[in-house]
Amino acid sequence: MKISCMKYEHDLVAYVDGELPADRVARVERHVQACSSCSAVVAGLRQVNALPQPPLIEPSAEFDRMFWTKLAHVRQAQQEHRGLERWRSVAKAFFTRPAGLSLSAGLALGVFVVTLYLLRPPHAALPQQEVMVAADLDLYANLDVIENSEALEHFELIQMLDELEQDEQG
Amino acid sequence: MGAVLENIEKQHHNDPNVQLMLRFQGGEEGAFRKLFEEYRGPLLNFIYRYCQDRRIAEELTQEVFLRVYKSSGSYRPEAMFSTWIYRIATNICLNELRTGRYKYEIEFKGPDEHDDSMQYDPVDERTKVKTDEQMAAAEQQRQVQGALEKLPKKQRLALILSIYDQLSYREIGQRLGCSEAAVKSIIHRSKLALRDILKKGGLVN
Ligand SMILES: [Zn+2]
Repeated sequence: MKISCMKYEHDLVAYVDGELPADRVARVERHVQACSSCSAVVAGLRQVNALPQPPLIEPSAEFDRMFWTKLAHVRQAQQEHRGLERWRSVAKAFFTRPAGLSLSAGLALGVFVVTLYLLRPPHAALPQQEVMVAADLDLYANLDVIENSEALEHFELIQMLDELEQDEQG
Repeated sequence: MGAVLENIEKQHHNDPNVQLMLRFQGGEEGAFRKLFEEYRGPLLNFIYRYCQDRRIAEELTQEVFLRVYKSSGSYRPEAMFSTWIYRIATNICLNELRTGRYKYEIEFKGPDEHDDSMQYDPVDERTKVKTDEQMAAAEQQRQVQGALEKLPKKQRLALILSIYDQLSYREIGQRLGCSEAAVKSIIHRSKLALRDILKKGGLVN
């Protein structure tokens, strides 16, 4: 196509497709009659529009079976996800509601105080040293009574769920 | 604003396939099966014309339906069902094939490695004889497909919907997610480009 014909390009397609505004049709027709390269474009575009449909294909024999197998996996994953979601919401509701929070905090503090009381040396007042050591988190976790308390288990469950959530997002 | 949205949704409520999708949303799995059976053939052909690989076309078609299934919870009838599902298919064609595990095969497939299904013809299957005319038609089909594959992806998709499915610019725009004016421009360019390629192969003027 000649450089001077470039401005006609889109009009030629619109002309062949019958979507050129009437006031521009005459101008394009005049040019096409006088220009062999543009008249070739018009003929070529008509052939493009008349290209036969490619033959249709049918899904293969395996198609349906493969799809329903894939879908079964999706369903299973959805169910597992929903199960986890339920646990997460139960646990979260318990620990984020003010009542649940203060209840568990109170429970933990109670267990902590009772433990210190039980572990105190006989006939001695609570030594300053032990209070400090007990404040150390490692030791705190090593105290069997506390480790086995329900409150700490819940605390770990929440941590675990949060890590899972971060994994999913990450 | 809410009222306008509601009106738009009401328009599409008359579409029987939107109804099926809503029934599926309500828990009726049989409605999903009906949609699957109605659309698997057309979608497979749409995707196949685009990617020219039967196995990949089947996998991508299945992916469309998996996405339909997964999106049932958030589905809202904001368009005719066919517009919506073809839009999913278009996104998959444009994105999966670009970034996914299919990239290698599509980009490095040689021009003569098209699978035989292109030339599949039930008449031939029965007679096992091909007339000269049929052979010529098959050869032309192969060359046109080769030419289509040279077009940029969006041009190819738009052109397939225009010359094979005879859709209007508006319908193509809805499926591709672009404006009518943009589609018009894409189609014009793609027709000129296709004509150029086919002319070099001596197929058209
Ligand atoms: Zn000219």
